Amino acid sequence: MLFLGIDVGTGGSRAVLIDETGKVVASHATEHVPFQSKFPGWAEQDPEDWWRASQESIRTVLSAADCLPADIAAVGLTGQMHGAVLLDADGQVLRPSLIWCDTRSGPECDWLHATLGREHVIELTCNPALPNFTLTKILWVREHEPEIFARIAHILCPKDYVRFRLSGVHAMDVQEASGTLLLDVTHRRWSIPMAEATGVPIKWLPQLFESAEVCAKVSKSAAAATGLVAGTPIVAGAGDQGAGAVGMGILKPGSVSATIGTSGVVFAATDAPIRDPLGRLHTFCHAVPGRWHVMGVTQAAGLSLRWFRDVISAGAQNQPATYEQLMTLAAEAPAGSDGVFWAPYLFGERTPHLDPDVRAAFIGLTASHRQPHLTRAVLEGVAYSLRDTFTLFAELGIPVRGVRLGGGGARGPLWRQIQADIYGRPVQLLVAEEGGAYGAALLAGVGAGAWPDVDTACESSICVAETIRPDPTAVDVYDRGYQTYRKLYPALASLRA
Amino acid sequence: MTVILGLDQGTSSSRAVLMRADGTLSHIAQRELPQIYPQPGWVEQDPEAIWSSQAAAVRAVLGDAGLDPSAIHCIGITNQRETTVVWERATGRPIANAIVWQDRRTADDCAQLATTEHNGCNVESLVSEKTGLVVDAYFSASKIRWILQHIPGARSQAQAGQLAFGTVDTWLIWKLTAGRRHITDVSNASRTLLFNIHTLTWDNELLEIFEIPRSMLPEVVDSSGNLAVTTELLPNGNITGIAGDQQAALFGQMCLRPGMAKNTYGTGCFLMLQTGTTPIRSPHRLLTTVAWRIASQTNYALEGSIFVAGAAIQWLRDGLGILNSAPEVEALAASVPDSAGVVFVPALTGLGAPHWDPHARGAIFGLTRGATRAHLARAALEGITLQVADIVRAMEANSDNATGGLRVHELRVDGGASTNDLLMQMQADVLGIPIVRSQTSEATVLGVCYLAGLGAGIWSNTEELERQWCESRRFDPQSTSEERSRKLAEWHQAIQRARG
Repeated sequence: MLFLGIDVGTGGSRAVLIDETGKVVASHATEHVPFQSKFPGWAEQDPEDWWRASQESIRTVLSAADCLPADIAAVGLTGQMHGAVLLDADGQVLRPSLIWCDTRSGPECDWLHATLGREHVIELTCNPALPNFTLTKILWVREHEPEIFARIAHILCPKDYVRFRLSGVHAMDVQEASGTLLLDVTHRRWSIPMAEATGVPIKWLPQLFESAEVCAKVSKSAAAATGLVAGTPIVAGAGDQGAGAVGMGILKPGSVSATIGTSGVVFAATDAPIRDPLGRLHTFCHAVPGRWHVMGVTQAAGLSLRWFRDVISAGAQNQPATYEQLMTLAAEAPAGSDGVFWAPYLFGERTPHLDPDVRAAFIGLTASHRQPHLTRAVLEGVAYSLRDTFTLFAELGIPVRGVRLGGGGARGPLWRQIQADIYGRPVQLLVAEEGGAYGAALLAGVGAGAWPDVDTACESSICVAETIRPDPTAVDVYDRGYQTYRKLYPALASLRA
Repeated sequence: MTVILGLDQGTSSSRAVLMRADGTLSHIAQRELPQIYPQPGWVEQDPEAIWSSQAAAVRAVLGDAGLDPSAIHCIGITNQRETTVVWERATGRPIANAIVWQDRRTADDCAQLATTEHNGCNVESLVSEKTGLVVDAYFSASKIRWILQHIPGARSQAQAGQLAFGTVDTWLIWKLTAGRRHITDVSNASRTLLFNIHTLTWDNELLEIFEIPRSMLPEVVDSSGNLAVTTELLPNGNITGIAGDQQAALFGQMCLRPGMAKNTYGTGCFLMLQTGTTPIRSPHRLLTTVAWRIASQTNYALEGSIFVAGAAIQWLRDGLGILNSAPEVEALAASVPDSAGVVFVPALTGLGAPHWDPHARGAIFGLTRGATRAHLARAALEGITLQVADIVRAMEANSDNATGGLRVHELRVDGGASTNDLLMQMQADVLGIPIVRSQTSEATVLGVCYLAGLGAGIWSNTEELERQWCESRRFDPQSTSEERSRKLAEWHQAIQRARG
């Protein structure tokens, strides 16, 4: 028995095929056309392109794996969250999708908060209105493209559109739905008050499922297009954060991941919908029935290091260092970078500041500082900003018992150690981190009955490779450094060009 | 042919130049001078090496020009200021290495001394009132005191009148006159912390505070006139000009009337504003100093310095690593129309006038995903010009109070980075006044040769010199006053956040 996970990401769509032991049998990623940005802050993609890339990845995986399509017991989906896919009554796409990083809907967020009250929005949905969330994008279309709004019959998120093309079914899982701002996250159902207040008819919204539930079957036409067998069950899946957490085994209360990709996410599983009255954390349904998760987001985590590589390390020769070279350089500087700090706000900040306008800075420079100090300061600054989310967890009484590292921040020993030292707790490195597609495949396995539940699926397939313990001396340095770091945001926020 | 020999004894090199009577420099020779770093914060030089490098430069420039020493009409000497030499009068032998102006070994002594009382007066305010300076390790007095305290036998030798103190001008003249002349000019004397700039004499109270016997001190002379006759190296040469390097540069830029100012762009910046014949005290702790005394008439100046100017560009090269060479900064910065909101506060060694915060640190603010090397380069240049603007404003604010409106109408510039056209245009834009670059960037040697020629009667008055002085380029401001206010407001916000 094999399980197929499909991750409809931003840069590309990836298919991963695993067996009953959780071993990856084959995987393949197909790039998307880069998103279009007609104006600053706009980001649009054509849903047809996701479907093209998904088909190609599925076909490639099927031909690479030494298996029969009939061996595939179930398919699971995951993908970039929040994107608004608008369909008419015939299932035709009405306009390019406004994706997660499109921030044009700031005024719609203001309108929602002004109309309903920010606290009330948080009460109804567990989250404040942010331009990333689907509903605010729909409201932008209502305001600016009323002729399109008038023709909407169905609203989906990106991976759910691929499901629709695979099966003809409109469906969504509760984890993904949490990011629409239309879900009553506490009760895991659409929020009728929210829909009514914003003029979005409930009938536009797809039927909701738990992540491991089978909600559709591969259609004949999709079978022809992909090489899958018609009738193969499709589970609901989860958004990339939810499926990624499944793929890292972050399921039970106390279990936390710190993932440094382009952005940085600290993610904690909880057994109740714990919400921050100030809206600094996202509170979503988890991909496991009866569980929720909270997460804090650093906008420019890996992006900080990429900027530093491309702009600073590239130097006059315009030859960017490799990440390995940067890590070697950073290792030459002591913990605390001799007083240099990096405030990683290249792209504004989400958690805990919710400030799109704040800018990044290097602070504490002296004549003797060199590239090793600056490089290390970037690694430390990103980890400090993730620590801000741990601080919020403590404030809200969210337990943290084990921390697993993910993304690029987990790949080198130096950044792993810096994270252990700055978080002040042991961190775990997994044997293999396969991302959201792997989590989606595990959910498919549960849907197919290979495992009784998601917890069992994770326990039997995910292994810890190494536990990195904090170094007490460095912890002292960083505890003091964090006190300084905490003063940076207020200073920078009041510095407006 | 009338030839003036200018000696320019600087921190890193000794130079000798020849000037013709039309004011043009014909030859320059230079010899490097090593610094000695016995421990962190200490900076010394070997006094004999100071002399031998200076002598070598003189021989070289005469050789280059094919001139016999007897062809030299007169000699001017300008020098690194405050650097302290103590030697035995009998033998001419230094009892210690010269303690260089940058040396910080007496910082704690000075901090402690500043809080004490002398004859019922707070030492800090007493010193500041009399000298126009601040109690700081930078100036000579605490360096002399350190030598007397730490060199075995020095104190008793000094009390017996056997030791002589001099700044570098004094030491060179002692050497050039085989110990017959022990003199310094008023501009150098005013940097010792022992000289009363109102009475223009060594001050007994200050000598008591620093425990220095008066017998060590040189005779104080004018900056221009018949000051000494040499016997060594240049037999029978007339020394007719002496001035500290920054004062010489002020004279070389022909800033002769109140309100005229010069700025030298080097590793740091040195600004000097001519304030006329009365000393003006600064509420922003700018230094009040003697500019020069010619024919018994004394002119004063306000001085402000920036620790990091060219050094900010060096840091872009060596610290940030975004330049191969410092001169690249101009083209790079010119490739963008503005810094896109990036602000670089180059407080890499703390902040000097008018902020005076040793705990301030450098910072780069306002970075976004789109920030490039070019924006950083431009922000660094802006950071230099904004620091200069702060000093000019402090000088004006303070002159207003004292004299009813001393405005800087243009800034004359010299030094290495003053050849950077973009930097000069940005400086004009941020100050809202023209920046004027003189024809030679060698304002210091020009100034001391002018002083010497004036003292020797080659020119009969300063008007003749002013007619000779030429500007090479003028940068007029292209900014509006709103733009300037906005920029300065943004800068002051950034400065606040770079402070300790």
